[in-house]
Amino acid sequence: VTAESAFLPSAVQLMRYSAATGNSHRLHYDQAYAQANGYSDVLVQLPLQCAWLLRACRRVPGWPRDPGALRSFTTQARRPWAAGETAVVRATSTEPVGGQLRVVMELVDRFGAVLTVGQCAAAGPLDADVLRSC
Amino acid sequence: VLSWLVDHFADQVGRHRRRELGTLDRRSLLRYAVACGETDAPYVDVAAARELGYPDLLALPNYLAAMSDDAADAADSDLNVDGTSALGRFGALPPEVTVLGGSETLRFLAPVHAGMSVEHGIHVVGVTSRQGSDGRELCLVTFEDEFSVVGELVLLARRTVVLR
Repeated sequence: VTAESAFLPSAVQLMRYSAATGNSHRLHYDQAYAQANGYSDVLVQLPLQCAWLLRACRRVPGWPRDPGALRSFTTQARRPWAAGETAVVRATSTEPVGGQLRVVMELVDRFGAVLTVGQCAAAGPLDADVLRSC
Repeated sequence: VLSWLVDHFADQVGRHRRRELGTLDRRSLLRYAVACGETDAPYVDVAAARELGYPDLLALPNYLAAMSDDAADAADSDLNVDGTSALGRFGALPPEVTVLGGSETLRFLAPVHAGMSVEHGIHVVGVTSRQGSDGRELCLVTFEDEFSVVGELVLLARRTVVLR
């Protein structure tokens, strides 16, 4: 079962995220610095990508409604993601492992390149009734 | 620069730093949720969180890990050229070095909500180097962050950053 969510980060959103987290890294708000380092624009913060991957995970049918069921999350950045570039998170449930529901995620740009990958685990098995209704 | 970076972080392996993050307030949690564009009720609505059995507004799962950037506590004069803190986990870096996010694993041991007083521990668990896909040499440093409330762990974060 797969859920998709699209994201189009703006430079303003990245600046606001940096402000909310006290992150003063220039790659996220200083376009000239980002370009001097070889990027087309300011870059999306990895923790913001994590927040979006985790949200996409919650959209997968059968994922527990209780936020306290979340047990683990792992992610790895593959390519930089610049402001103004649309990307889609594809979150797919897999076979439970050790009684835990697993969802794997890929963040993919409009050219099909994988930007970031991730995986979530939650307590409890998949909700079979929800899965059958999909 | 690469060998300097490797030595710099290798010297920190095994050392622990601890600090108080203070009491989590609703405003900070909500501000983080808004900055993420979050609308799921338990993260933006206290009543919705209570309906699920939690005492107060819930923090997004990666809130603590995202807020653990110690540059927020540094004066402008204490920032490295790339904007990271020269007084924090990276220390003073050569001006040509830039820190990038690499990978992260979070283990959730208890839900985090407003009203909790959180202590944060950091240590370097490893450092290595390799050549990047563009041929540039990279230094990879792995940190482990522990977040606890009244001595009980609520979140473990292991993250690897790339310095180049």
